[in-house]
Amino acid sequence: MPDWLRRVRLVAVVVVMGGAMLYVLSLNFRPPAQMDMLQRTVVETLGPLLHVSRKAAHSVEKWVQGYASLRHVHEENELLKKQRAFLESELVRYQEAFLENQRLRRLLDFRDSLRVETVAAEVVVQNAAGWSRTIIVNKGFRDGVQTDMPVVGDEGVVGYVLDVSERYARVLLLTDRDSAVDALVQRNRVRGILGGLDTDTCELRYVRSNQDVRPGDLVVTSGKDGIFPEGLRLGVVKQVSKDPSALFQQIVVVPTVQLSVLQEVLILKSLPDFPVQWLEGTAKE
Amino acid sequence: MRSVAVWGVSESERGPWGKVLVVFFGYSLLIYVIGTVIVLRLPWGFTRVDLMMAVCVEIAGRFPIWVSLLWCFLWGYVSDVFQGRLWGLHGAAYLMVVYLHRLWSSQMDVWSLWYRALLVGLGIALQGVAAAVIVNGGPEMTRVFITTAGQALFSIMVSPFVMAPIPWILGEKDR
Repeated sequence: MPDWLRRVRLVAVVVVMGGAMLYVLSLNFRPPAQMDMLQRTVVETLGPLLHVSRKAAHSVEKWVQGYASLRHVHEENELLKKQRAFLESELVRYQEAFLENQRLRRLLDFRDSLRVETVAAEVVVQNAAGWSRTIIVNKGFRDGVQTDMPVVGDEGVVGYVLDVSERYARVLLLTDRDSAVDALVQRNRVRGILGGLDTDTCELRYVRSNQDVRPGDLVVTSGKDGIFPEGLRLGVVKQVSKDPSALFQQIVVVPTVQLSVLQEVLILKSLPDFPVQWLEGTAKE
Repeated sequence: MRSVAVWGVSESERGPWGKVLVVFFGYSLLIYVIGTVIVLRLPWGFTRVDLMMAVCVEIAGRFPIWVSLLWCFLWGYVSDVFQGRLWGLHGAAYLMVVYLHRLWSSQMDVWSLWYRALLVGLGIALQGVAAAVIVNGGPEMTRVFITTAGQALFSIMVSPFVMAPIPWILGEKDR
């Protein structure tokens, strides 16, 4: 290969690599919006595969659980084992359908009671790696989903939409460190900002040390952040630590929604035009 | 197609390019799906490791540098898209592992399983520390570092199982 061609090739490689690096790094500073074409291509291509794989893994998991529960039957006899295995797998299927039915019914009741336009979505990818808590759901701007829309479950707030592609959306969970929701302690209206702490817990930040917050207090949305409607359940105070020298107290909150086993969510397409204090009432119950 | 000997492995030893593509796309996709669907959902923090790091080490050891770089960019980007945060972290960690492998390849027995497993652990540790420094900060750092150390150890144990099928796919003889 001639020397000049070698040099041109080197320059081309450096330019292409540099461009790719700049593009990827620039995404860190991009305001949340619709995913760009490249991201959409990746999500739309791999999304269905991951969705199917997740469902398959779920079925296998259920089957393994069913099989494990049958192990003691081995000791009785082969015939009984086969019969039992069949019945058990059927039972698991019915139980799964029953539980799904209950979950969807609760979600439906919750949606009806919200009286806002919502979109039901299934979780496709759950990303619980060490440094971020996001999920991908199977509804995108084709279904009217947009950035910053609140995402809830029947037990409370899940998070909000971060990015959207045609058929998928990325949701930032409450437990992510960059998540911030304007929140109130329901009992005495003490206000703070709820952000992520680790995989399973959140932290109610900026609550002064002289404010009265106790373990067991319910934390709800204040409705003042322009994203979430007022009064949606966020979590329950688990632990309160007060340092006399610190301005703010440390409040650990456990989300009311079990984010690690999330399967279906509702995306609120519009904020309700009325205060939803009644939701706090249901929380008291 | 040009015959390129990579760190002592001739193209005939690596097998035809069809097999290379199977590893580059098919096997990488399989490991990515397993990682996303199963490993990232495991209940213990130290087990939620990036399986693609082990594939990256194998790619770095067996394929030409440009293939390794392409792999790092492609799969780093795919991981970033589904992560949605810290854009470039996966790719940067993969590139770092490829760089370290090239740096050390003349001084170490690159075909030693120990070397490759340790390189995977090092990559996971670097990735975890970088993420911890950027994202976490503050009083939780100690806990995050402990988790990262656990992830590095776990990935050292798991990586041989991820790496083992690659020479088999490429039809390589036992070393």
